[in-house]
Amino acid sequence: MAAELIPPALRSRLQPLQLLAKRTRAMGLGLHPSHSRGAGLEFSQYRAYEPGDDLRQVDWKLYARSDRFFVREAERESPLTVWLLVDASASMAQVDQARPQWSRLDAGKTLAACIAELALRQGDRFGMIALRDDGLQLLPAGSGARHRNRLWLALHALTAHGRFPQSPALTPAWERTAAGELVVIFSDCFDDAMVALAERLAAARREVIVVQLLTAEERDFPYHHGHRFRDPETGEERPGDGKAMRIEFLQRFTQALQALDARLDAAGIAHARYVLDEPLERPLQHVFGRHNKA
Amino acid sequence: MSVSLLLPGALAALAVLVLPVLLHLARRDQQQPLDFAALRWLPGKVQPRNRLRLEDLPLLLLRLLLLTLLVLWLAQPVMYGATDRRPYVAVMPGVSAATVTQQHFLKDVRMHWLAVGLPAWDAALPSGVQPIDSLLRQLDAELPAEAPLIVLATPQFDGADAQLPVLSHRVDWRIVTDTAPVPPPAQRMPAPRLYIMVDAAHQAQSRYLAAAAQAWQVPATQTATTATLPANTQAVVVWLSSAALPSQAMAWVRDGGTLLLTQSHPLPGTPLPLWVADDGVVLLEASAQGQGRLLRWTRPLQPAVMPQLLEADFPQHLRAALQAPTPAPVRADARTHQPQWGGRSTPQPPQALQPWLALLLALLFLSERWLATRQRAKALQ
Repeated sequence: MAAELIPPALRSRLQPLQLLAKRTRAMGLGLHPSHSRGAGLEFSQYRAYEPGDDLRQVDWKLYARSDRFFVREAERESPLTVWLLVDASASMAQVDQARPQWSRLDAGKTLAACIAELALRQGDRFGMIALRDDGLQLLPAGSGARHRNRLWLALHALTAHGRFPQSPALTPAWERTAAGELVVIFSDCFDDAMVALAERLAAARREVIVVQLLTAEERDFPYHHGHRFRDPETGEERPGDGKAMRIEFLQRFTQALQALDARLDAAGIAHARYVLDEPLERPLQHVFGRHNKA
Repeated sequence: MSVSLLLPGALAALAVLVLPVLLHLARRDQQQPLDFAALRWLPGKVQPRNRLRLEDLPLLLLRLLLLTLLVLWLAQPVMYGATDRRPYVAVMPGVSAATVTQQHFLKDVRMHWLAVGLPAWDAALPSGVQPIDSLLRQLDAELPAEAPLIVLATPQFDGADAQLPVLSHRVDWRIVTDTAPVPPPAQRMPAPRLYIMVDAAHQAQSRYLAAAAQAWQVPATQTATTATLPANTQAVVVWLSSAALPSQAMAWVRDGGTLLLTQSHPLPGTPLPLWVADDGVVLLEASAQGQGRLLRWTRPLQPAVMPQLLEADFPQHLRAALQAPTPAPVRADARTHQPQWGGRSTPQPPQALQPWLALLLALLFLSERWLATRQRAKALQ
């Protein structure tokens, strides 16, 4: 992992991207359209006066024309809060043999730093939660360049080991994130608990985006000889001949990915897939570029 | 044509072939486990196809081949029957090129001079008299029995020896009409002229030498010891005096003269016996001095102590001691000197294959190094 989290070439490609969420919480002024209405700059709609409404919000000119009380409502822009959920279990340390310096976790760190950069540019708040069974690492949401530095410090210190935490340990992820906030998950999604967490967060009205990180070896399975495959989290070993297992593995793995896609789609979770030998901006464009056009 | 091994016991070294096979056995137990998080989607029941797996098969095969050839090289392979069976035409010195081209041969023949070293017919002919009979015997031994031998002989030739060659080949003995420019036969050298320088005390002894010179039909010249030496160094001076030699006599000897001393003058250096009597007594000894030589009688020339003086062959013995012997006659007539058939054929030595194998081994070794380092360089990239 280089000292620079975001390579310069990648930084220039971040320029056209914007963090946009469907739902945001009303709080101050910002880029993000809010469905909560109230006093603001941007006119939204008129609605009939109800007892208890502030008299100052009544449109008196309209009252003069129509002899009815209407309350003028504006859509308020509010800052978004982005939560970066980084899986830091041992499986994230897996690398390709062709590029042993570039692990799944490194890619996740860089992508998380990119999103934080986007949030910083837009004045949004961002926080980070690293998920590991020996305790979650939490960086509270904040904004500003100093907070970005804090995030980078936390990301640099992050190493992948241990297993994925079980559900009682995931409570901070619940408590800290609130409805309407953007939650971006970086994980290999091999652990069912991770997908279940994403589903529950989405069901609880968090805007969830899953970036699945895969190694090129998982995609291609380029093994030709006998190997001892070891699960880095459970330690389980399975000897096998690469050539003999390749077709069946790829078939089963593709099916698993399709099942995961279907499950995430069903939960209304935006998702992108990043393989370690692809350009880094691809998952970002896939997730945020689509919203940009809309 | 057959191949065999001179040291078949060396094939036991083929056991070394086990080594590369052991080196190339994939040691599964020592393999590093491979982190693979998507383990649950690996098919579980598939075992490695074969437990004994050889890594890098082409390199292994190359190494096995290399070792096999190395062992074969140690076993000293030879090839029998790989000799040249083309007809062999031996041309005697003196046969002209025009005569050779007129001869009818089978298509593919080897042509060589019948001379020392058997040079090719295109090459220059060594000068001097060639030992023809000896060369014929050598050719007969070196040629395989199947190769016909054709000899182009001049009607007369020099180089015969005392025995008619008896060969295993039936020689096609073609006497061509060319007459070789043969040198005249060696003539017997004339007997040396004796200059006997004698003083009064040895006057009696000089008569035997004078008689010998008379027998040679070259009369001796008898002078006093004070007389001048002859200008001709071919002459032999006999010094019959106890007096010391004058210095000009020694100078004359160094210029190439031959001087015969009495027993009272010791010879410098270690003299060589020149005439040994039948009873083993050295009568005449010699010592080189410059270009000439000094001779010395080992006893006085008196019949009482040297009875050979009275023998009839004293002049011959003396002449042989003073002169080199005449060479034996070497000239022969080709019609009567045709080699006879009936000798035992000589088995041909097998051709050694070791140099070729060594070349092949070097090539194989280079390619093995290339293959091995290429794979390592690939792994390093």
